[in-house]
Amino acid sequence: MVFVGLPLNLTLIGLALAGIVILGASVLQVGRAGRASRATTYGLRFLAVLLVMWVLREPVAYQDEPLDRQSFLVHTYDVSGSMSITDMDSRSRLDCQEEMLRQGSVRTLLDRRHRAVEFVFANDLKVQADTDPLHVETEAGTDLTSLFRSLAGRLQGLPVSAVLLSSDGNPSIGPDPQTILDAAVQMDTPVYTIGVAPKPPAPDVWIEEVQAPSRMDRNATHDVSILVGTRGLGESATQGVEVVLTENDREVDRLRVYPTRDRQVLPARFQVQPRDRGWNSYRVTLTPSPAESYPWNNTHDFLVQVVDHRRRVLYVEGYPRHEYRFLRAAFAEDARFEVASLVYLDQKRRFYRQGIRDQEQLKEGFPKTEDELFAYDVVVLGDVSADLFDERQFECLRDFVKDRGGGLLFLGGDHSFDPQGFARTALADVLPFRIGAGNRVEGKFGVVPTVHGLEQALFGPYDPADGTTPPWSQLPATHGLFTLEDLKPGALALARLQRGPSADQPALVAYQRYGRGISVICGISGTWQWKFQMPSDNTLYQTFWKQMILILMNQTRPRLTLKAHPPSLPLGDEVVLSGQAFDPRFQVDPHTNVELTIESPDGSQKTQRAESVINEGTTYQYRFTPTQAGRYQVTAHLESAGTDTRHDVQSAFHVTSTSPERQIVNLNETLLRDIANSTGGAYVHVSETDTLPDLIKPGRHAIHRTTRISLWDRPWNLGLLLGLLLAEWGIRRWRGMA
Amino acid sequence: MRERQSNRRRFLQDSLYAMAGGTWASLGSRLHAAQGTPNPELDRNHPSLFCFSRLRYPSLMRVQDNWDAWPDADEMFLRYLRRVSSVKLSPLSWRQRVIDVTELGRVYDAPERESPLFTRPFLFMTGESRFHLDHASRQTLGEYFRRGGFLWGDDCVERYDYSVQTLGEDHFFLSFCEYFSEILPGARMQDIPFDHPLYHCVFDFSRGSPRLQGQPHRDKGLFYQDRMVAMVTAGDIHCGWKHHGRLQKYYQFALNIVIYALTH
Repeated sequence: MVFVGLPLNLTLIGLALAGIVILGASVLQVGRAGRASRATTYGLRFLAVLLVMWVLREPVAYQDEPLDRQSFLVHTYDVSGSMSITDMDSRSRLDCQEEMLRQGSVRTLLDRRHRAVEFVFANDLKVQADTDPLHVETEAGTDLTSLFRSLAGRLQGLPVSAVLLSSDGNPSIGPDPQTILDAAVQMDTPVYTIGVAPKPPAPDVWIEEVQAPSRMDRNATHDVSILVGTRGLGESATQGVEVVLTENDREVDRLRVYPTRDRQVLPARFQVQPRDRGWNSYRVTLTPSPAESYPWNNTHDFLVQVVDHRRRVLYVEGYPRHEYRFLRAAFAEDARFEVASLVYLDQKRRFYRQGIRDQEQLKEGFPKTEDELFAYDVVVLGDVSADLFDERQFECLRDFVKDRGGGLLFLGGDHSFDPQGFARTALADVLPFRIGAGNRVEGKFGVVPTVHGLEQALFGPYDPADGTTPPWSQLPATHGLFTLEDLKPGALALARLQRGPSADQPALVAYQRYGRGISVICGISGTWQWKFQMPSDNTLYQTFWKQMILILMNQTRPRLTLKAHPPSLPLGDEVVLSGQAFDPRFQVDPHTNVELTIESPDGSQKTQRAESVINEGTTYQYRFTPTQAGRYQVTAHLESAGTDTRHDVQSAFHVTSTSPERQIVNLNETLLRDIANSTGGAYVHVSETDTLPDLIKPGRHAIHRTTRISLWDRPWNLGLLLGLLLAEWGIRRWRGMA
Repeated sequence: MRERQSNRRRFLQDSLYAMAGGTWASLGSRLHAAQGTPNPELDRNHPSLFCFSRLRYPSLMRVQDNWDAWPDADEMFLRYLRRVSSVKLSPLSWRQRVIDVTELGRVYDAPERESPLFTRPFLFMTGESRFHLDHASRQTLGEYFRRGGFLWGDDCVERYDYSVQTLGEDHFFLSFCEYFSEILPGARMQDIPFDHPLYHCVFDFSRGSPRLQGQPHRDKGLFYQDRMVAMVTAGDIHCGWKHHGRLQKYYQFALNIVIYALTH
C-alpha cells in the first residue's frame, strides 16, 4: 500500500491541530455529562479527523495477477528405464504419464493458463515435441541432479511459472539427496512433483546394497554385508526372505532374514573364505517372494580379486622378552602375514633370526639399503635402543614410510622411549608423538579405545548402539604402560589409559600419516599379559595386533596399479581403466608405457596403449564402452624406460544386462516431497493430478499484470465517517451535552 | 638334626645371596641411572622382566634332593644369564619366585581370580623323585600351556651310592613323561629332534643336551600346535651349574632353553 495524496508531515500537522481544537472544545463543553461520555465523544471526533486525514493521503494498493498464457509451465517427464515397468493398473508408468499428464483434462486446463514446454529426461535432458509420444530410453539411468542443472541453464531469463516434474523419484545416477535438492533450489523456480508409481507400493524384496571387499586374501575370512529391502509382504513375511551367496556358481552360504514391519531394510552378513585365486564372480540372490511384483531386482553380481599375497612384516626386538614371543606368534598365526624377525641377544649385538626365507635374509641384521628394506610392507620396532642403528638406516626407515608407503609400528619401552635415543634421529619426524622423559606409568591400569580406535575396530568390530559388553572390558589391568603426552598435530589417538572415571586420559596408542605411509606408536609394553591372563580361547589379544598391522598395511602399494571404474556397469555405459605406475623408488614414473590387454566374456582379446595423464591418483587411463554382458579381464603391462623390468597387474569388471534402474523400483515420495517443499512447490501423486491447476502458484519469474486499486475513494470511507459523526452526535444528545 | 642343619645352612646361604643380589641390583641401578636409562629391573612388576620360577611340588619318594635342590644353582645361572645376554631379569628373590603346586589347584577352583601363575610364562621344575599331579593341577597346567606358558623339567638324578659309578636313576624323568604326555589333549610327548631350534638358537648342541649324570634318555618335548610347550632333560643340567660351573656347556644349554622360551 502506498500514499499518493497529502504528505505525511502535513497530515501530522493537521492531526495535531485537530487534537488541539478538540481539546479546546472540551473546555467549553456545557452540560453535566460524565467523564466517560466526554472521552467517548472526543475519541469519536478524533477518529473522524483521522479518517479524513487518511482519505486526504489517498492510499493506493497494487495487485499482481499472472497473465494467462504469458509464462511458461515446464513439463519434464521421466523416461528412464524404470518407467517401462508395467505396474500402474496394467499400464506402464510411461503410459500413465502420457495419459494423465499429456492428454487428460488437467493438461487442457493448465494449457489455458500457461504456455507449455516439454522435456524428457533420463541421464540427460532433451526437448520433447508436443506431438511425439513418450518413449523409454532403453535402460538409461535417472540423473536428477543433472536434470535440474540443465534446466537452470536452459530456463535462464525466460518467464517461467513453475516446473512440473513427473517421475518415480529414484535416481540411479548420483543418488545423494542433498546434491539433488541443492541443484533444484538453484533453479529459483517452484517445482511441482508428480509421483508416477503405484501407491501404496506393490510388495517387493530387493537388494538395497552390497558391501564386499574388491580384493580378498585366500588365506583369510572376509565379511560380505548385504542390505535387503522388503515392503508389503504381508503374511508371507513370517516365512522370511532367503538370501543366498554363490561364488563362481557354487553356493557359499544361505540365511534368512525376517521383516517385522511393512517396510524394512534388514542386514545380512556372510563370512567368506575364497577358494580359488584370481577373479571370482559372486552373486547374491533373494529367493522371490510369492507376493512380490518385481522379481528382477533380486540378484546382485560383483567381482572380487582373490590373491595369495602375504604381506611381509619385519619385526626387530632389542632383547629377548615375553612380549616378543607372544607378539610374533600373534602375527605369524594369521596366514596373511609373513613375519621375519630378529632379536638382539646381547651387548655384542648378536642376533637371532626367525621366519626368514633363506640364510641370506637379514644376514647382516637390520637392512642397510632401501632395496632390502622396501621389500617389506610393515616394520615393527620393539623396545630397541637407537644405538642399534646408524644414520643411513634411520633415513631408509623414514623413506620406507614416506615414499614406499610402508607402515611403521613403534613399540614403547624403556629403550625405545629413551629421550637420548630416537628423538635425535631422522625417525623422530615419522613418529606421531615427541619422545620425552617421564612417560612411564607406575601401577596397573586398563586400556580403552578412543572414537578413532572404535572406527578402526582396534579390538574388533563393536557398535556401542548394540548395548553389548565392550570386548576391551575383559582385558586385565596391566603394568608397563607408557603414555603419549605430546602428540603431534594431525596424530590421532586410538586408545587411551583407563584410570578412574574421567574420559580425559592420556593416549597410549596413536597414529599419523607420514608421506604415503602410516606410523603407529603403541605405549603398551606388556600386552602379552592380556593373552596370558585371559582364557586361552579368548582371541582379543590377537585381534588387537592384527588390527594394528592392518591399519599399517593398507598404504603400501605395488609398482603398478590398475582399477576399473565402475566395477559393475550396465551394458552401454562407459568404463574407465586407470592406475598408477611408479619407478623403483616409488616415485611417479614420467615415462609411463602401459599397455592394456582386455579380454571379453567371449574370450576375444584386444590390446590398447593407455593414455598418460597427470591426475591425482592416476598416471594412465583408457576409456571404452563394452559391447557384451559378462566378465571382462584386464591386464596392465608396465615397462619402465631404461630397465628390463616388466610388471603386470590384473583387474576385472562386470557388465550387467540388468540396469540399475530396475534395482530399486518403488515410489520415492520422500525425495519428491523434499524437492517440492524446498523450491516452494507441492507434491501430488499421479492419481491426484486434478488438483494441480489450483495448486500451481506461479513463481517470481512469471509474467504478471499489476493492477492499481484506490482505497480512498471508496463508499465505505464516507459511510464510516458519517457513522462516526452520527455516533458522536447521538451520545451528546443522549447525555445532554448539547 | 642333619636336616635342620641343612635348612639352616640353606637359609644362611639364601640370605647371603639375597644381600649380594640386592647390592648388585643397587649398583646396577646406579650404573643405569648414570647412563640415563631407567632400570626396569627395579620395578618387580615390569612386564619386560624374565622370572626364572621354580615349581614346588610334593615328592612321592624319600630322596635327598627334592623340588628345592640347590637353589643357589639358580642364582649362578641367572648371573651367567645377565652377564652373557641382554635378557632383563626379575629382582625377585629365589623364594619369591617359587610357585607352589597348590596354586594350580586354586586357579582351577577359581579361574577368574588373579594368580601369580599367570604372571610367570616360564617355570622350572627339578627333583629326584617321582611326583603326582592331581586332576586340578593337570587341568591348570594344560590351560597354562595353551595360553603360552613354558615349563622345563630337569631330573636331579637320584643316586643311592655315590661311591659307585652308576648313571643314577630317572624317577623324575619318567614321572614327568608320564604325566605331561596326558596333560594337553592334542599334544604329543616325543624326542626333540636334533635340528630343533632349541639346540641351535644360541649355541649349537647337535647331539642334544649335555649330561652331567643320569640315564641316557633323549630330551623329550611336549609339542602342541607346532610349539614345544614343555621339555624334560634327564642329565641333571641344573647340578652342572652348581658343581661344574667352569664347564660352560651347562650354562650354555640353559641359555638356549631360556632364549627358546622367549622367542618361540
